[in-house]
Amino acid sequence: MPPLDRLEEALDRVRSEFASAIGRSADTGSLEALRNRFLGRKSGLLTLALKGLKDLPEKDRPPAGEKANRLRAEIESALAEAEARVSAGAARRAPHALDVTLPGIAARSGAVHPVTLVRREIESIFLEMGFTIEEGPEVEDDWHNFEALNLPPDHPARDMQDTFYVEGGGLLRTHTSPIQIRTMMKVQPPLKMLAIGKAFRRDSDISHSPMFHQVEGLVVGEGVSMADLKGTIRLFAGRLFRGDLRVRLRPGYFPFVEPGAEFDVSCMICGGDGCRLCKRSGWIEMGGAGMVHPNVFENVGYDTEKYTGFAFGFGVDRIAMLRYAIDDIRLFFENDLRFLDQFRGEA
Amino acid sequence: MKFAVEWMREFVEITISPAELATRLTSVGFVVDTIEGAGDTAILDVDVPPNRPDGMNVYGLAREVAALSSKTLYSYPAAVRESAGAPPASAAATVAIEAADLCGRYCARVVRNIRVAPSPDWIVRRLGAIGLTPVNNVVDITNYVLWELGHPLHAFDLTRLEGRRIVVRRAHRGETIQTLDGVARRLEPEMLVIADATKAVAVAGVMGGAGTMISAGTTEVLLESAWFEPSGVRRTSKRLALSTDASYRFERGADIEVAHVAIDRAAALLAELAGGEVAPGLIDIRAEGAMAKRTIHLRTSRIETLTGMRIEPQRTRKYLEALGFEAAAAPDGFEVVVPRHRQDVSAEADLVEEVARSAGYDAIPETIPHLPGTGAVNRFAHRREETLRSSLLGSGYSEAMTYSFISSDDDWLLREEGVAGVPLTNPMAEGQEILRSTLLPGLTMAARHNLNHGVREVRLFEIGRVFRRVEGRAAHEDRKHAPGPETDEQLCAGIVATGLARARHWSEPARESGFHDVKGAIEEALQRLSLRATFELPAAPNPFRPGSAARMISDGVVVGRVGLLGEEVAARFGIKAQVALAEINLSLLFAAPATPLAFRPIPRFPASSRDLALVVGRETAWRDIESAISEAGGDLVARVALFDRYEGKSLPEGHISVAVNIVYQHPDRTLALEEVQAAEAKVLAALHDRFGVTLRR
Repeated sequence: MPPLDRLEEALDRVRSEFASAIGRSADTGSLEALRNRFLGRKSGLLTLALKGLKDLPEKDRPPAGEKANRLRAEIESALAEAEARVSAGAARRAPHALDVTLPGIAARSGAVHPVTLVRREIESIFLEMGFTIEEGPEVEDDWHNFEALNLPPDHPARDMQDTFYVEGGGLLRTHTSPIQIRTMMKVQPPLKMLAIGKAFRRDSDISHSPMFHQVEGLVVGEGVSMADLKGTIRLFAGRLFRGDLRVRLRPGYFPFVEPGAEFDVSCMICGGDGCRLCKRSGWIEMGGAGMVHPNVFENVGYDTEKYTGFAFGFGVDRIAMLRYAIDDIRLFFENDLRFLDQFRGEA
Repeated sequence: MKFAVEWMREFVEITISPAELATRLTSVGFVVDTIEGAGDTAILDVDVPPNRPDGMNVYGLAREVAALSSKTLYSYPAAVRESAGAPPASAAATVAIEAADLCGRYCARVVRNIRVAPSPDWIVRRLGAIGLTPVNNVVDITNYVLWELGHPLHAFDLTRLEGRRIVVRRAHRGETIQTLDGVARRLEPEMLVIADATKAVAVAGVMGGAGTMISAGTTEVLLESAWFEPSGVRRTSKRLALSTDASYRFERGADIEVAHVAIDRAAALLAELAGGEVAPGLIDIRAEGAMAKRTIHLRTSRIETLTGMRIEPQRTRKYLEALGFEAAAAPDGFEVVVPRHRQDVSAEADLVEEVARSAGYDAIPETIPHLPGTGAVNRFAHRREETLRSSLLGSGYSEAMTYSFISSDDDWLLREEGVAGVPLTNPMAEGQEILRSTLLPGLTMAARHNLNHGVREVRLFEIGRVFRRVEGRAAHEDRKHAPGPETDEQLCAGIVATGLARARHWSEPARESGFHDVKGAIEEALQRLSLRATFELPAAPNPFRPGSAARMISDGVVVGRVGLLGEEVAARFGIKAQVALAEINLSLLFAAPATPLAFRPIPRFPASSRDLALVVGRETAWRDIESAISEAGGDLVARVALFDRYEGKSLPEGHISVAVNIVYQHPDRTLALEEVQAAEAKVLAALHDRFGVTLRR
């Protein structure tokens, strides 16, 4: 028999002997004995089997050594496993032993609504930029919701916002812009404000709800320009979506701004290469923006020569949908706990 | 709105691909949603901004294409060959404008010997490509010119116009007309009509009448190309609930200058395609000043102020002229004459937009405004609201958001006493017809939704506004421009708990959510808010189960209610399970100032803790026992806590046992056992005297 075969046979013998021996060892002492018997430095069975290694030709030594090491590792891990099992068993038998694997006892907290999560995040970004946060009534009058915003009665652009009217006068605000009007009527520039809250339009499908949340920013001062608008949106979008996103303005029409714009940000999923989320365009449509129309400033008594300002607005629900990959806006208002519970980790 | 590239090519050279064209149009504000087909057969679906009626036709969009690609816009074909020697149009019909405030111009032409027939293929194809159904050559030609040049036209059967007369006037009281769609419509005196000698034959700018429409036997046509005042058309269209391609354009502003161009083009096509003979002469009646053009001063510096882009005056001029504006140099910029097709441009800022979108918004730099700002949150009680939210979350309630409009029946069922609801005049759907006066119906329905979907513990809260009708309220101070809506908004918090109080767990038996769970969540929140409230029996328990509801009172004001939903009401909501509900009016609760927090020294001397098992009558309220103990024990009583409550056979009929822990303490010394015993004796005597309470043996 060649020396290599002989060595391998010896290793196989050690393996099978260990396999039968470990089955009979059920306490710490016998496991320790087993370790000595097989792995003992001087007369362990494995050590003895390896004595034949030096008789091997040079070329056979590395493969043989490797086999021996593998067997040593097998024995080591089987011993460690057995030792862990034996000591855990001992712990369970200890007086007053607990089942430490039972679920813990805790008061389970509730989940913050995803729209609140996103609202808080948007607010904190703008607060850090020095914006104030303002509020106003949800039942508005025509003047604050439309006329002051350069939407006189009979203006066709009113068709863009299908309105709910309220018995006894007034309407449900169709956007958060009347908050800007109310704030401007109280405060003189410079002004940096955010309006955030519910808005209502007669519109309902997978991406439109008759009740939704909107956020609008307004900055008024001397020398405020569209460049400031672009820079502000970029700073904000980068922080909200945690990345260096690009911003694109496109001409767009909103009666309360001139020049007016729609703004897009580069897709937060593909970085602008094109994917399913951005419909292969590389851009995500966010909302509307522009320079405040001089008629709006006149309506609130601002000096249209001295001051310029920008405004922008977008949907809070839409941001939440993008952030959490939610495909139906109506989920926000169904209040299914199987939905809400998923946001516990975001509080 | 659909546009065929092939059609646009009649007016401008297009050398770029449809995809590239789409990108460029989008970047100047005409968003191309889709491209159908390719090359010459490509159809672009363009989202034309509502303030750009000039872009809602082939020629107008070609003008934009020419400007954005530095090409020349071809002139529009307007030559018409009149039948020499035939009687002039003015002999065949007369036109009078009686309402010059609503009609700035009325052009008419007479075309004779027409043969009404199907349109030739190329017209059918072009109209079909953009989704229009052909009717006959006369009607198709008016449509063709509408889509090509953007000016609405109308064709009357001239022989049916009584007196061969057109009068543009307001409708008479009680006047009616049957429009082309076959509907008989009642007109109102503020509506503008086209009439013949005796009756209305068209609703001006909206739709023609059936009685004078083109029919198979029509031979003599009066073509109308007019300009109607936008808001008048819009009001009429709204009142009649009738919107047409014509009204859509007139209410957004048609181009008064092309009225004669459009009619000449249509007349020429009638001659060419329907064998018509065009009577000599264009009838063209204009209101004074209706054709005036606007001139706007544009400062070069303003472009930079608004956009942050510095644009050379020569470039500004080039951009404006490419779009049809005339720009005359002025010391600081230009005097710009606005073409009539751009009624949307009325001020300097509008011109700035024209220049900026020509230069491209991509060229706008990015800067950060350097303005001071306080970063304040000017929202009612926002910190308290956040504290309340966080406390309720900690108590295991998840945040809900329900609709602000609900069914008026549901609202009525859970409405607070003495509150009037606020209905919507135009609800979108059944079950959404009233603004909620309470958060409870929305939360109850959310609870039902969850129960029905197998969720076994339902704990939800919502913070939001409710709406109540306020009769005869004076105009609000900052609603000086309109009568104040008679609606009051209050910020409320609503809470619902049903099903299991906790998920089933090995550490405790399962238990149903009840009144005290919701009450506990409120008490915890009140503590976190440094606010106080008491819970009193309500006068009228509706909608709650009798004896299982309380009013929440803070500073003498009712600020909320809490209770178990009455079984009958629950059944109306389709719920069999026990439902605990609470609603707190935060506008009232948060009106009270918080108690300022001041540190109290930690007691230096040990306290003496004593437990008592008491037998008390079932009707005796715990709060009465608690205050009797505090009163009788005086300053020595530091804390009173109820730690067990037992009902059972070993007790006298109508009695329960309560286990109370009383902590006695003195700030300056350790209490002697005798002092504690004396205090306890006083407590027991008081309890016995006032409520017949005895010690349990």
